[in-house]
Amino acid sequence: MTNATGKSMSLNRLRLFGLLPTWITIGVLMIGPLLIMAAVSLMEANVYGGVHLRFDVSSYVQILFDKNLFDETEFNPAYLIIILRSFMLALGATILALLIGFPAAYYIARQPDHRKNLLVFLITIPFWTNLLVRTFAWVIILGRGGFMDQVGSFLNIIGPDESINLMYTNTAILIGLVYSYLPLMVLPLYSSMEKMDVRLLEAGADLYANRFELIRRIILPLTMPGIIGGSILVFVPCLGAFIAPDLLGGGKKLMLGSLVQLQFATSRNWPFGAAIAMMLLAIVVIALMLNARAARRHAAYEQGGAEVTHG
Amino acid sequence: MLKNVAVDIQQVTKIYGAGNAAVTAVNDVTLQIYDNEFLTLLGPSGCGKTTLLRMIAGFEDMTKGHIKLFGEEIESLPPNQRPVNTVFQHYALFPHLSVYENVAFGLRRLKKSEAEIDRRCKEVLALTQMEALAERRPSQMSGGQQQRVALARALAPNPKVLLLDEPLSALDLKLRQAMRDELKQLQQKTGITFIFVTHDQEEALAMSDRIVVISEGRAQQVGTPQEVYEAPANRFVANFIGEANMLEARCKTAGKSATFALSAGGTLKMSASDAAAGDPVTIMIRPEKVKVLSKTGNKPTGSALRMDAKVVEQTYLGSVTHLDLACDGQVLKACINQDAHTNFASGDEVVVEIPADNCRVLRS
Amino acid sequence: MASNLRKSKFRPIWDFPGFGGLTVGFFAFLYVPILVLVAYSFNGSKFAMVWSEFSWRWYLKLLENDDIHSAAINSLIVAFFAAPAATIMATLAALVMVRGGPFRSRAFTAGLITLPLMVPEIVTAVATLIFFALLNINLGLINIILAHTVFCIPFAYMPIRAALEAMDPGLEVAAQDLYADRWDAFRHVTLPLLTPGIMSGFMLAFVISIDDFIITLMVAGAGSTTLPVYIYSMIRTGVTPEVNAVSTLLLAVSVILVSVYWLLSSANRKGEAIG
Repeated sequence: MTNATGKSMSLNRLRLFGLLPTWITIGVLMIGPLLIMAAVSLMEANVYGGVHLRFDVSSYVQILFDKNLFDETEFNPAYLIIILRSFMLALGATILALLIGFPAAYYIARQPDHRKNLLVFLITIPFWTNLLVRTFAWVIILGRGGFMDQVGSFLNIIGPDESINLMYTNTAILIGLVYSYLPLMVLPLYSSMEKMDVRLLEAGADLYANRFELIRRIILPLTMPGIIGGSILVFVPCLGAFIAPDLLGGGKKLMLGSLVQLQFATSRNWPFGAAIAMMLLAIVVIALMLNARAARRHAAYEQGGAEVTHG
Repeated sequence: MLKNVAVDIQQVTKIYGAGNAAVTAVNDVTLQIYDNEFLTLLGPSGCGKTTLLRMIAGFEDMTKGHIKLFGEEIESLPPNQRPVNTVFQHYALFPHLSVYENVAFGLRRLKKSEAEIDRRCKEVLALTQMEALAERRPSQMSGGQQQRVALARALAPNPKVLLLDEPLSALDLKLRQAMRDELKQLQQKTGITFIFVTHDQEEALAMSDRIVVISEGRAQQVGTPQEVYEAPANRFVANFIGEANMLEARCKTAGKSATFALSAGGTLKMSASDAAAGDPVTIMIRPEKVKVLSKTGNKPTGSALRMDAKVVEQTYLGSVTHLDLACDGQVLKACINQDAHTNFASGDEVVVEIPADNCRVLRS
Repeated sequence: MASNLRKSKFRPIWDFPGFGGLTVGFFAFLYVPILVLVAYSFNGSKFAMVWSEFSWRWYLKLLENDDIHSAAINSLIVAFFAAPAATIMATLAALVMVRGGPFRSRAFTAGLITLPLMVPEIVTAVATLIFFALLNINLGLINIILAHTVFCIPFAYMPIRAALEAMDPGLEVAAQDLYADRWDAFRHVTLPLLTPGIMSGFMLAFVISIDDFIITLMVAGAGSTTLPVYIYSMIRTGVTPEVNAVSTLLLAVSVILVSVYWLLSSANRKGEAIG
């Protein structure tokens, strides 16, 4: 590494060496498959599984339309219902997660440091455990004769042989979804809240704001990036969720995730499954772009106001 | 003329923690602050001045004592119900709101009409010369501009008392000096009681109607800038504001025409002191009052005490020259104007004249 | 000392009443289901949901279950290959991203690394399945290892990158001032200081691999079942208390690993104060 160009050349080579494994791995095993899946969604289904290599948009058409007995194309609401259910449940789960997580995130952010770290750790533990197992816990709780029913009969809310019977309902799936992704809402919220300067709340109170106004006028606007970030981190996985509708919905209340899985298990309609997956992917991309735009706007006024600038 | 008491502080105490770890931040402070006055709480870092301010604002509760605002007790009121507004040390401007919306914030919370809000905001922005920047965000402004916005925001709801927590400390020197005059004029123009906190004694002297010197949670002295400078109540005040020469002495004769024997030698005759004979006291004299004369041919002047001294150090500061003089075993500080006749250098033998009228007796 | 103390309790303005209680409720919601699961795994009764008495029997039954053994072993094998592979790649990438100076593909690389986190798991699972099927790659466990490595990379990357960023670059400069060449500086300064971060990244990648379900479900061929997939099939065939027991074990493994990771990174944080 004697001269300038020699140095930069070997630096380039080092960079390449460092990044190439990651590029190859993710490129070949992630981007490649995604592209192939996109292609498959435009192919013709093979009844025995797999595809015929022929161009065919019927899988996308199938989302909305079906051929009836007279071989006419007519509108098929079945999949639309699934899409709608997925959206509503994902939205509901996001809102619930926000409501449950907001006070906790705020409270923890205001704790002294040592307690803060411990509490954040306690939030993340469930996140690192197996999602299947955690959702299964709700099967035990909500199932017929399960924990909830036992508590219910213990408290005399229901009779000894009755059941609250939440299992296999949309509510059960909702609970499962909220439970699965709650930490993903709280962590970005917490991060936003921690960054907020408490003196701004003092200033607000000094200027006659009561506690509701403090939340509405100061905390909410300033923690909006956290709220949006957390919402996306919950909404997107909920849309594509598989475990919750499968275990808690009994496979009868399908969501997009379980619909996709079905195409590769029993239904054997790969292009259709790929088409739905592409739809999910598109929604994610849109959500991410919205998030990026909101984050940029907030960064513009992130720096000033509370801190000293020189001038 | 009977003055209206704006803030009545009675035996206010604040203790943090308990038992062995208890820290007394404010210790039994009693103080009356008048309407339409510019009062400064002056003291070194950690002396409790900011804590006292925060208790008036309502951000801290009091361990003991009472605070009344124009006769009404306010201790039980949360900060958002006290007609008192604060200019915070680091401004605490709302980053997500424009300057206009920052200024309008308090008025909106008070549910004023839109017309009233607009009128008042424009008025206050004009007062602080910020009209042109009304639509900007705080992050787009310099420190001095942010400070004015903080000021405008606190003035907009027309508080009865304005609290200022070291608002100038983050500004550079020239800006600070300019803001001093502006703040003083603002107070006179609006007639609002200003309670100003600072550790900078020059600021306090320049701006205040009265100064409260605070140390270790206690009010050491309350008085006008002249009173506090010329007649400090104790050693702390004398040392904190300006510089002071401290001479140990003992009272020889008490009464209307008291005499004091300096430990360094010599006697000082002073009028009216309440020291009793035999009491140890400290005689304080400001450096600029110490006369330095050349050794040859000078007539003694009145009841001044004259001592021989030698110039140890000379520091030329442009407008004045500081001299450190060794005199009978102690060092005296003098502050003189150099001119053609007086040009003292290190090592010179001189005569020091201490006029009794400019001395002050302090308790030991 | 308290002669005229305030009667009502003073509340600093940023302290909202009731939020503490809501936080307790939050943690209860988060942990009660897990506790219920663990509690029921000790249920002596044959019916999973009716409590009879405390018993170890289901855990003992696990010891006899060969299928669970092989599933668990498969999980470990996959993790033991995928996690290190991901960690090595993540370390190299982190070194380049944090210390490599400006270069054109930086944004692209950053996006690439976080891609597995952004794409919904079901989509990744399906894409990978199609990929392996159409290209006729049927290597049993190796398929799973390849799939796991991909999504383990971002999880290993995050703590390593954080550790690198927290490291004072002046240390390497100081080393060079003391006659170390680039490689020496890396070996004797950067690497030792980075090791806790690398360990943390490895732990996270390992946990993620052990816990993965959806992707493994779709990608696994016959005979290469991992533990979570096996648990799923147990649930499908009927809820027995055995499921509770094996679930609790899996939970315990994850919790232990994550706790080790956390302790490691707290120690790391304390160590930074000096550097």
